[in-house]
Amino acid sequence: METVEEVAKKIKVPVKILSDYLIKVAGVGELAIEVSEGEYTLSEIIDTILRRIPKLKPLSESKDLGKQPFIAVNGEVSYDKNHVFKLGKSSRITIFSVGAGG
Amino acid sequence: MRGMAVYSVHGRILHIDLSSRKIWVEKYGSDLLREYIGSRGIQARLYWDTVKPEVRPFSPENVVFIGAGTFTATPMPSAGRTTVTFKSPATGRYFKASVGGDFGIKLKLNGYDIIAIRGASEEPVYIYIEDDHVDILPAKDLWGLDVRTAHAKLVRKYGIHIDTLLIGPAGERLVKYASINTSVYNVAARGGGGAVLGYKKLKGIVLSKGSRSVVLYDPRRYLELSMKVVKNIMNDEALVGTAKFGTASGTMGLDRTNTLPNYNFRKPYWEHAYKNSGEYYVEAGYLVGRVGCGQCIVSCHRHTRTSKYGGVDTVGPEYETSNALGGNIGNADTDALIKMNDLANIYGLDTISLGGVIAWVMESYEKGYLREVKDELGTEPVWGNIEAAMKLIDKIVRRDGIGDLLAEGLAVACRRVDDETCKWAVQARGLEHSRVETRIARAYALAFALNPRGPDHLHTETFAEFGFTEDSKKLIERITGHREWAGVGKNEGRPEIVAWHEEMYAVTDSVGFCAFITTAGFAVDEFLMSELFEAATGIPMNAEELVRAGERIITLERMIQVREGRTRKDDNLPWRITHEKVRTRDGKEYVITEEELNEMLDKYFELRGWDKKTGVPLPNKLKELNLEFTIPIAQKVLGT
Amino acid sequence: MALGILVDAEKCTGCHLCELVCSTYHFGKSSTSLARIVVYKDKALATFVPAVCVSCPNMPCASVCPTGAIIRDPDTEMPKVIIEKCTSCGECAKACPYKAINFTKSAYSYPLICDLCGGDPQCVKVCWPGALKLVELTKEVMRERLVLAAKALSKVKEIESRYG
Repeated sequence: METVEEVAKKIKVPVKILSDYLIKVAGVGELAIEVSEGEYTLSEIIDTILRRIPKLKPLSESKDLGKQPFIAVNGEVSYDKNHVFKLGKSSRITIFSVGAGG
Repeated sequence: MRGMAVYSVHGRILHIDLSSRKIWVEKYGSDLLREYIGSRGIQARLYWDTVKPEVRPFSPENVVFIGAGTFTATPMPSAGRTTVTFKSPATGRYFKASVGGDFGIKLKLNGYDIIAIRGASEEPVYIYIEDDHVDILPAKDLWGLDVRTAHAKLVRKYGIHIDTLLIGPAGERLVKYASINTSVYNVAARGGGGAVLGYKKLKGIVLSKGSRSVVLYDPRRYLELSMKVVKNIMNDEALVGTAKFGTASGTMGLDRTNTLPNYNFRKPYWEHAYKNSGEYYVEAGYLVGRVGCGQCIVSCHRHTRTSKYGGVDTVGPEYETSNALGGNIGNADTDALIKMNDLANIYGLDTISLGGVIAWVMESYEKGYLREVKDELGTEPVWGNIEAAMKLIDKIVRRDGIGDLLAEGLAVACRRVDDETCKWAVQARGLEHSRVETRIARAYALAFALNPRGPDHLHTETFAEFGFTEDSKKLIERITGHREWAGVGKNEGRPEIVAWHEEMYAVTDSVGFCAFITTAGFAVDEFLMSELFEAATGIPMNAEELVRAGERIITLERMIQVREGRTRKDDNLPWRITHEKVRTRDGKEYVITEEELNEMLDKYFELRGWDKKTGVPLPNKLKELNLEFTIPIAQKVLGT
Repeated sequence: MALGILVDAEKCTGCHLCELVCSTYHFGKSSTSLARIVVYKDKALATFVPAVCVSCPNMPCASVCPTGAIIRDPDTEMPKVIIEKCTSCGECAKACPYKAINFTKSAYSYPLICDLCGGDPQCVKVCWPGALKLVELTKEVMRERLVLAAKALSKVKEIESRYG
């Protein structure tokens, strides 16, 4: 019997940048990344995004916690580069910077 | 200065005695304005004069002062804040609460700067104000109604251009953290001001549209300066974000720096923190609009909706609520958070104390106490159990069963259950701790220990300590000379940072500015503020004098509490904060030892010119600040 | 090209700053009763609507005026009240299809209608939420303005009926 290799579905995951300052730096406010449905580490997701938005690279590497952007995947934020996220049909990614709170 | 005329304020205090039903207007002049700047400062002085230390919070002699800022009802952006001053049934001492909404604007447009309410009515009443016409009217039809329903009833009666101040059923039942609402969702939340009005059987106050106007000393210059403030606000790094994402845009910054208190201050970060953040409320579609307090173009207040939990259309949740009823009780369900925010609004409850109480119940249950609560609620009060949380809220507002105990607040409740449970009753001096991890944010810790209200942020919030923005780093450098002292987890320079913020906050409150304009965003500093003050009032005022007035207000508030029995031993923090270590994401442990707190206090008292042993301002300092009338009290305590 | 104010009520956050700036600019005194822009609010459902004159081509305010006290200002093209002819009857405020005329007799005897501050409107400068914008009145913009004004009016009517 032949084993048929399943080809993972390609999906478009919307990436939205929420903060005005980051949009200015990035040069874009919204885009979609095309990936195969499946599991990815935070590190892989960040790399994919930075390939599309290279202007965000310096900030993403900043040691200054006031400058380093946050990234939320499917409504979840992790700071662990090895944290695994599932990217599927209804996934979304949000990028923002720190707020003033109160 | 043109004679004794006052500008930017009316110089009129409306006095109402609910016992004798007497109503009269007291006039004041520019001297009081020059010394005390506006609402908060003037009300502190009035409190000193009128509310003696032997007065009990639930008594006719307690006076509730509600006042608009000096810049309120003028074209100054974000200067619509109102100060509410009273003796708190939770802390037993002087308490200053702060609220937005439009009440302050309307008060001045009806011709008054401050309302002072004393006495107590035997039957429920409300007050109606239309310029010179002031009535005390029966509130039988309003008593028992939640804030939203009562507000609607009054609007139907008086028209859509009125403003209402109301207490909810929580205030009527004297819940110790019952709030005073200046709209359905603008809340002078803390300290139990709602309970004081409930005791006085005052359901609320109705302000008509008002036909009076505020006269400025130099309207042309004032308008010029207002436009400058507008520009500063629009270009402010922090305020741009706050406008879009609300105050709960602070959540993730705190999460990443391990200063976000979850599970009753056991965990300073949380995997689900994002669900309690302003960015999430936007991303997930909960936000349907923004709401502005009076005169505020930042408009950070959130108009949110959810179809769950019976459908909710509300305003909120703000940052404190997002954590207090979010991660603090293990709740990542944003729909539930929005519902609980709405319940707190309409019942008239402070969400910070409410969250602290619910978390204490959950931890107590976890540790084997309060087991009977499970039967009473029909569900276990465990972390993240929304059904339990909502049932507890219901029981608290009705003072039903366990609710009757919980309505007294943590300081009382834990002692009645078992002294051991006081170890996780995260409160000090009768007030539940605000939502920041003070074992790591040390300027906050010192400010919380000194705060007349209790371990709380809305009196002296040292947000710049985080160093999230360039402006905040610059400020830390300006105050301490060391830019590198910005950032949490440090002890250096904290007394200086706290002292600066105390003074700035006092004048910010008094002119009616939102603290976000001067201490979280930096659109106005003391130099610009003194120029605004001069243009508004005609009273000569430079930055140094303004800051000195801030120090005067802080010191007077201290003397008020000294007279009420406060000493250095009350400059404390909850037991958990000074006895239990908290661990960060990367395994570092923090606590504030008594020695560390004492060291910061020693330096602070030295800076202030107060006696180190007792924490009492020294007579020469009191003289310097024109507070001679408080010297006899200081001398009594100092034994001189 | 004539200029005008475009109101997008969806963006209004109900802060009242426009009213206070307007009154201070014109009168040197600060009061919503002295403003030439009116903000209607439902505080319970967080609904806010600024209403300001959109310079109707047929000027119903002028038509109902018994003494001909309202004319069109040649410079700004906005309605202008001739105080000497005004009898304070208030009919113009009732006739305004967008409830944009402020007539608060207890504060000021005469109706207050937006005059674009003579050509440099101040309210639009302070409205950061963007509910008030200064626009060039092309035919398209004038049409859009009337559509938005109608939307705003229905919101005001909704608020009034909710508390009727």
